Amino acid sequence: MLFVIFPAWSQQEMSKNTKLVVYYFHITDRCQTCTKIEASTKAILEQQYAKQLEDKTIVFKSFNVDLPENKELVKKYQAYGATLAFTYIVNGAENGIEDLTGMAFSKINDEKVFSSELKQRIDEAIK
Amino acid sequence: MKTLTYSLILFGALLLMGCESKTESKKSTDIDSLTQSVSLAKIQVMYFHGDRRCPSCIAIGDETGNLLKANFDADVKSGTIAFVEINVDDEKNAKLAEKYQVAGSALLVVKTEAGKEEVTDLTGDGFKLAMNMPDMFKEKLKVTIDNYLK
Repeated sequence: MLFVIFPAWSQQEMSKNTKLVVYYFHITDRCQTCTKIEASTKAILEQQYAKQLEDKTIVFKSFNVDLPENKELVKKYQAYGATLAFTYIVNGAENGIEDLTGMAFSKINDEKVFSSELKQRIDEAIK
Repeated sequence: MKTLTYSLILFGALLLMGCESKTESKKSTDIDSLTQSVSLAKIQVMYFHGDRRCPSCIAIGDETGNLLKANFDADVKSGTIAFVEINVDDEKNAKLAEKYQVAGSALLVVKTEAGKEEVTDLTGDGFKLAMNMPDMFKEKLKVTIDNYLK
């Protein structure tokens, strides 16, 4: 029953440790800002949460919204364009989604603020 | 010859000072006039972007303009609603960008009543929907504006 609500990939990539899934959705023709948001998010995770990525407390997944195989996920997150969404997990079950797309696009040019907004949520999710 | 050289230098310096003060006064006029026109309307639809705009960002501006023209033309003409486009890379808009904490692109709907501002941030919906689901985006924007007009 574990992860029954999650897509097929979650069986391999999530574990009982998982507390946060960071979703990044993008279109095929990506703009500079869209690429920058994903790169900055990944950099923060890899540099400051490497241990949590390794033990799967945090899982990062990126999807192309134009691919038919991602249709269901796109619908669930209303991710018809670039989207950054945190999904919080408690005891293997989804416990809320936070859409951070607006924050990402409006703060991305201030790396300090962007990073601090993300870290605040990540720390809260994994404590 | 020396006197002529000094006179030329002095003239040049005065000329530069004159230009500088003119630029300065233009800068403050720009900020004041923008802030003034923005604060006059009850509802301001504020669209922030940089010099280089991506297709999604362009779609947000275009679809916002389309909705305002199709559904709120009279309110725009009467000055109840103002559509304000702000380039955050333009130094003269730094104060506005700072006030609304925008360091990138954003779409904000701001209602001003009795000197108080209420802000709805539609940036996320804009980037997720404006390009591929424009009707869904416009509906969200319309609902926000309708609520503020009540």
